[in-house]
Amino acid sequence: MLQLIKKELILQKKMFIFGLCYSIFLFIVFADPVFRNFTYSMAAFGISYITIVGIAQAEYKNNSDIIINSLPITRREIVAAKYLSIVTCTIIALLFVAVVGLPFSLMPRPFDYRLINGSDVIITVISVFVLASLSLPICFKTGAQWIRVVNVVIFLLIFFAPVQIAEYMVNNPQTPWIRILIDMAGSQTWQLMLMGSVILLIILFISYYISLRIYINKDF
Amino acid sequence: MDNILEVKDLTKSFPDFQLGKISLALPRGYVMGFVGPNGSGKTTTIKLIMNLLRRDSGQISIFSLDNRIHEKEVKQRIGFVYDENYFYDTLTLQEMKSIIAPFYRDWDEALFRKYMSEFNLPAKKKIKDLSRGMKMKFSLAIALSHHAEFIIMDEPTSGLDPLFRSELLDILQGELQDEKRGILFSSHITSDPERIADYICFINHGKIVFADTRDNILEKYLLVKGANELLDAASRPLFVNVRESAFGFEGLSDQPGKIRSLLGNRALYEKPRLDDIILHTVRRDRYAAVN
Repeated sequence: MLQLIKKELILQKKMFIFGLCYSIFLFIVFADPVFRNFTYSMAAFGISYITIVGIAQAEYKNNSDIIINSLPITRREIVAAKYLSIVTCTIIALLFVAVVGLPFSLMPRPFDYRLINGSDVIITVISVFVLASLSLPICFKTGAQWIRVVNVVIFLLIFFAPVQIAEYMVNNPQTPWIRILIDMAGSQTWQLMLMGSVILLIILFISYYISLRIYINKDF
Repeated sequence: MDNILEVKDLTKSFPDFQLGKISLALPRGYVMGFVGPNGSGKTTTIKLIMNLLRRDSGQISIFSLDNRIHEKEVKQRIGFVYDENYFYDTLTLQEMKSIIAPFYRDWDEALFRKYMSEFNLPAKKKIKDLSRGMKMKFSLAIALSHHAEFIIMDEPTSGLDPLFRSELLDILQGELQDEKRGILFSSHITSDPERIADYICFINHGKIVFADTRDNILEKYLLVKGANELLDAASRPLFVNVRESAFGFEGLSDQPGKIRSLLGNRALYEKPRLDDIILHTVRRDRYAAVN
């Protein structure tokens, strides 16, 4: 299992260099006060996205499932490692943006960013895990040939859906589920976070289970 | 005899191809040439042995262990070389090795370096910048560096120029002479396995046509040449296949004693090469399929 995660890290190495340049670019472009609160999570999500897509395409291009499945490892471990590597990928992306944000925090306006905080981490984790949960089963099924198209759609959804949902919530504050959410956000923050985490874990587990079924029954 | 590989009644169906109830066995310490024309089922069989394809029915035992139940244990002891490059081509040989080596408990770094040096492989070069022959040598270096007891090679010589093919076969002959090892070597170029294999297994249209020691096979058949008048109702059934022309015929017989006593010194007799046996068998099967 650890060897498979190491494999992902070796493959990710060059993509992280690209991700580093990409996050510096984002910090410069999104210095505007409207976006700056989300620059850390956007950059970390972007790096994770680039890495996930990059690895999937490298594996598809070389048909590397043949080699990986010829090694002494089970298909169950291959799928589990893929999901775990998403976690390592997110952690590394967050570390990258935290480090890139440091020098910016010392710069004069308009680049005087705050340091990374908990909400940046939560937004990144939620968006990357949702992206991975939706795209990995498709990747295991199609062998990454649709991964770019699917990920672009999910990427756009993750970027624009929250704005639409927020607008809907502002315009319909009396809707029962919105009232419950607003009440919980004000007085029961921990319960809300716990509920969110449980939902995220359920999505991840369902995604993992589907991926496992697909991969175990796959012919290479 | 201790069999390193045993395949029994193995089947696998695709919409356009069927592997039908094949059985074969490879004793430890021997090399088996797995030959047959393109599309005959060699790669399908190898993929089933490696559990890359799910079998429909039948049994596959490697080191007397089921290849699915004991997949990890079995694959620890297998070295594989495939016909295509499935390595990550943007990585260097060193990087690719560092991905693969930790999976094997018996990985021998000194042995790997020895092969890299013997095969003149540049560790820092990217896989995509290597020639096909170099990629094949790299695959072989990986397959041989963890003391594998069973080496599976799927068309390792296909697409290589004759010089490189000969060099690769020399390497195989030199490196694979180990009585603890078993080697399964598939090829559609029959002269390659003929040169190094102890056993020959011939597959055609998804069925095993014959599987025996090379010497038994070569002794079992006889190549007969003569005038067309020799071909009659008595002689024709003794041939596997006959190729006729205006100048005479060439036929392969699997009943050498009978054909010699029937035709006597009116015909010429030659010991066939594996190529001749396979060519005539494939033609007979094609003729049978058409009629």
